[in-house]
Amino acid sequence: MSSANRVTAVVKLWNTNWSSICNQLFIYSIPVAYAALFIEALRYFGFLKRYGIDVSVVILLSLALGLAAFFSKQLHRTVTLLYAFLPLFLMGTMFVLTILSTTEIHKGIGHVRMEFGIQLSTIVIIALYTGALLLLPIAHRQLERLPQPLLGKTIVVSFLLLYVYFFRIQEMFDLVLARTSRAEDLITKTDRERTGSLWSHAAALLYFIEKNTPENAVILHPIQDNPWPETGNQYVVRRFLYPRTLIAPEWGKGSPTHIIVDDGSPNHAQYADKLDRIGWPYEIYPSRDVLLMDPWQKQIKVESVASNAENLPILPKEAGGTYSGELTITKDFDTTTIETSFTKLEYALVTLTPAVPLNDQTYFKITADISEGFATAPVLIVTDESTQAQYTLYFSANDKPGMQTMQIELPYARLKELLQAEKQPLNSSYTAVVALDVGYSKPMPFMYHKGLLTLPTTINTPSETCVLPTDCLYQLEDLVYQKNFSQAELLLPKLHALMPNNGYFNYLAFITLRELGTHQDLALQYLQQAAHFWSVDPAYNLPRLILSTYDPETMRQNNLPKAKP
Amino acid sequence: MITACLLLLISSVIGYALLLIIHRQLSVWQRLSLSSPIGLSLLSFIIFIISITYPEIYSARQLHWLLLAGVAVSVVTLRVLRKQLLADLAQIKHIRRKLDLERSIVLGSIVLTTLFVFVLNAAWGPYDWDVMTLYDFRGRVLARDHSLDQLLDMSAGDADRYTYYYSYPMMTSIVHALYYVLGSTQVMTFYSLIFFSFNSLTYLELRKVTRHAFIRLAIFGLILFSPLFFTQAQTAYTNFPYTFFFSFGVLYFFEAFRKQKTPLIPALLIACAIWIRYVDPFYYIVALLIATQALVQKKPWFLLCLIPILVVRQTWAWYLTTYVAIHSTLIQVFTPQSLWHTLTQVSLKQLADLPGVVWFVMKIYLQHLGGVTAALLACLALLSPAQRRRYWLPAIWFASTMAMVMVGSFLFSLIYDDWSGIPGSAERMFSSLILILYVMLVQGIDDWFKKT
Repeated sequence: MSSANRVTAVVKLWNTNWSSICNQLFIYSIPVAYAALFIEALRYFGFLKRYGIDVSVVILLSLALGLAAFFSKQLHRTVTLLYAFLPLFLMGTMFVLTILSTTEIHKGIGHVRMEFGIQLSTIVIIALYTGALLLLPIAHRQLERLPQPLLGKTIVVSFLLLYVYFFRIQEMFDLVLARTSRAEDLITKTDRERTGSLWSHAAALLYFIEKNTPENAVILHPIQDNPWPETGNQYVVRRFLYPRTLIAPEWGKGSPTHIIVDDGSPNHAQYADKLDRIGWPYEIYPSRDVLLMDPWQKQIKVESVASNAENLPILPKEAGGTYSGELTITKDFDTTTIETSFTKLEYALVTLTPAVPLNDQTYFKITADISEGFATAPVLIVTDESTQAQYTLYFSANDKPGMQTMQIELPYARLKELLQAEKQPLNSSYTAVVALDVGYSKPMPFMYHKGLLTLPTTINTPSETCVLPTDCLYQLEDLVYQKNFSQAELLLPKLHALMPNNGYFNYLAFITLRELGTHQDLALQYLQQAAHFWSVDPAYNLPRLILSTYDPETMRQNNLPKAKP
Repeated sequence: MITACLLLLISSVIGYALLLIIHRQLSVWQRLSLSSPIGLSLLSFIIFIISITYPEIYSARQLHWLLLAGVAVSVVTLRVLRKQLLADLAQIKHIRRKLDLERSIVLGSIVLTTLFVFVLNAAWGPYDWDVMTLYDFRGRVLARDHSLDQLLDMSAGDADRYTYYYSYPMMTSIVHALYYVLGSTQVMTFYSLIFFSFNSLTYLELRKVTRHAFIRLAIFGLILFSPLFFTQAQTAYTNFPYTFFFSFGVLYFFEAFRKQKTPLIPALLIACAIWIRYVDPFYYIVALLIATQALVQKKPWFLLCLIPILVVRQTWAWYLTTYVAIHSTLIQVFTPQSLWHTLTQVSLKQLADLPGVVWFVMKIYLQHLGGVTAALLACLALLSPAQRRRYWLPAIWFASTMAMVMVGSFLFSLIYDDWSGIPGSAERMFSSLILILYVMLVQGIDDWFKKT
C-alpha cells in the first residue's frame, strides 16, 4: 500500500471511528496525566520537562480528548465508570491536601516536603485536574448550547485560560501558605512585638539601644556593608532609634556619645568573605559603660566521632588527660588544640582526633551540639606519610543549631581530587586528623556580642573617620604625604591591629615614626616588617633597600637618619 | 481596630459626598467602591496643605475636629443631594433582586478574599523594608512630631540626603499618621480596603466591556487570584494604591473619550495617583490625552478637568523646591526638571547603553505581561479593521507609556549605577498596566466573538 493510500485509510478510519478513538485516547490519557502529576509531586513541578514532557500540556490534551469524547455522544463504559469514581478521588485529594496544608501552616513552610517528600502545590494541580475532569460534562452541555461560530472560539479561549489558571492557582497556593503559616503566630502580637519578630536580627539589638540611650544621644552604628545589612543601614536604624542622631563612616560624621556593638551574627556564615570586618566596633574605645545583650558563648559540644578506624578517641581537653566522654569547647580556646597554620581564613580549627590512616575505605561521622548562629564544618588535615606534606580538606558547613551529625564521606576521593588539581602524585600512605572548623576566631574585641558602649567624653580622632582597613591605609598615606606625621601617628595602632602584615602600612608607619623622631626602635621594627612583607614588586623592595643603607652603628643607637627635606 | 474601621467609614462618607457632587453618572456600586480611597486622598491632601503653615493639625484634637467638619459638610451635601442619595439607597435596598448566580459568586469571592487579606494584614502589619524606613516611618514621625522638620535636618548627612524621605508624596504616610494619631496601629486596613475596591471596580469594568459571563468571570478570577495584586495588597508600598487610582483613571478616561463625556473622574483619579507617586511620569500622557479630547471633541471646558492634576502636581513640586529647600543648601531633589537636565547631558557613549537598558526592561515586561500582551495582540489581529478602530486610543496610550518607561529607565540607569539590581521595582512599575491590558483583552475577546 502506498503512503498516500495509507494516509487516506487512516483518515477514513478516523472519520468512521473518531468517537471510539477519542474515548480510547481519553481513557489512556487519564492514567498518563495522573502518573506524570504524581511523579512531579514526588520530585518537583517541572521535573518531567527534562525528559521533554510538559505536564500542563499532558493535562490540557487529556481534557481536550475528554471534551471530544463527550461531543462524540457515544461515551465509553469505562469513562462512565471512571466518572462514578472521580468525585470520591477528588474528595480524598482535597482531604489529604487540607491535612497536609494544615500541617505545613503549623509546622512551617517546607515541612511536608522534608518529612513526606511531597510537593504540596502539585497536589493542588492533581485536585484541579480532577475537578476539571468532573466539570467536562457540564462544560460540554454549556458548549452545546452555543451557536456554531462561537463554539470553536469559546473552546480556544477556555483552554488558554485553563492553562493560565493551572499555574496561577499553584503560585497562589504557595503564596497563601507562606503568608498564613506565620500569621497565626503574629496575630496575637503587639505592633512592637511584631516588628521585633519580623525584623528579628536588627530589632532586638535596636530596641535594646533605644531603651538604654537618651533621645539626644549621638550613636555610631556599623558601616553599611555585610554582615550588617540592617544595623549598617541608617534608614533602618533611624526607624528604630528616632529621634537620636546617627552617625557612621558613610552617613555623616560627628562625635558619638554611644557606639552600637554588633558582631554581625547571625550573618557570619552568609558573609564569610567579609571575615576581616566581623565584630563592630573594630577597636576598643575608652568606654564609661558597656552594656551587652545576654552575652552568649560560642559553644560546641562534641558528642562523638565515629569512624571505621578502631576505637577512635576524641582528643582529651587537657593534653595527657583521659577522654571523659565529651569535649566542650568554649570561646576560650586556650586549652584546645588550634591549628591555625592550616587555615586560609584564620578559622579556629579544633582538632578532635589523633591521626588515623586514610584510604578508600575511610569515613567519619561527627555528632556535635552547635550553638545558634555558627557555621561549623568538618575538616580533615591530611598528612602524606612519605613526604610529610599536609593538605586540608574542607567539607560542607552545618549552620543548624542543636545536635547535628556531620558525615565525611569518601574523604579519600576528595583527597585524590585535590592532588589531581594541584598536580601532585598520589602516594601510598596518608593519615588524617579530624578537626572541626568552629567559626571565626579573629581576635576582635566585640566578637560574639551585641550591645552598647557609652563613651565618657566625645572622641574625635582621625581613626574615627576611617573604619575599613583600606580606608585607614589611604588616610595614613594622605597624612604622610601631607607631612602631618603627628596625626598619622594616631592611626598607627588601629592599622597595626587591622593589617599588621601589610608591607605598605609598615613602610608608612616607619616613615611616620622616623620623621617624628620618637620611638626609633619601633620605627626600625616597622621597617623590618615592611622589608619582610613588602609585596608590591619583589624585585624592588624599597624597605629592604632603605634597611641596607642604614649604618649598623646608627641603628644600634636607635637613632635613624631622617629624610632630607 | 474599631478606630481604623471608623476612619474608613468617615472617609467613605466624605468621598461619597464628593463623588455625588462631581459625577452623578457613576453607578452606586462604583461610587461606593471609590468613596473611601477618594475620601482618604482628599483628607490627606487637605491635611498636608494645612500642615505647611499649621503643623498642629496632626494633633489628635485638631484631627478630630477636621474629621467632624468633613462629616458635617458631607452630611449637608448629602442632604442637598438627597434625591440622588435616596435613589442610591433604593438600589442598595434592592440588591437581593439583582443577585443572580454570577453576581453572588463574584460578591462572595471578593468578600472572602478581602476578609482573608484583612486578617493577614492585621497579623503582619507594615513590615517591608521601604515601608518601615519610609512610608510608615514618615507617618510615625508626623504623628509624633507633627512635622518632618527634625527628620529633614537629620538626613543632611545621609548618603542621598533628602531625596529618600521626599522621594514620594505624602499620601500614604499621612493616612498612616491619621491612624496613629487616632490611636490605631492597624494601618494595613487601608490596603485591604483598596484591595476590596480594586476587585469590585474591576468586575464592574469587565461587565461593561463584555456580555459573555464566562469570559468575564474567568478573567476576573485571574485578577482576583493574581499573586502580584495579592502580594501588593499585603504590603504598604505605594504601588498598589497607585495602581488602583492610575488603572481606573486610565480606563475611565477611555470610556469618557469614547462617550464624549467630561473626563473629571479620570482626572481626579490621576491626581490621586500623582499624590501617591509623583516621580512616575505616566500622568503626563493622560493629561495630554485629556487636552487632546478637549480639542478633538471641541469641548474646551474639558481642559478644566486638568485642574486637579495641576493642583496636586504643582503643590508637591512647590513644596519640594520651596519648603524643603529652606532647610539646606545641599538639597538635590529628584524632580522632572533634574531628570530633564540629566537627559540633556547624555553623552554618545551613554546613549550606546540604551539598547541594553531597553532589553532589560523588555525582559521584565515580557516576563510579567508577555502573555496578556500576546493574547491581546492576537485578538486584535483577528478583528476586522472596523472593530480595530476603537482601539486606537488605548494603542496611543500604550505606545507612549512604553516609550516613557524606556526613556525613564535609561535616565534612571544614568543616575543610579546599580539600576539593574532592582528588577522588583520595574516589576511593580508595570503592575499599573496589568489591569488596563486585561480589560482591553476582555474587550478584544468580546469583539472577536461578535465578529461573524
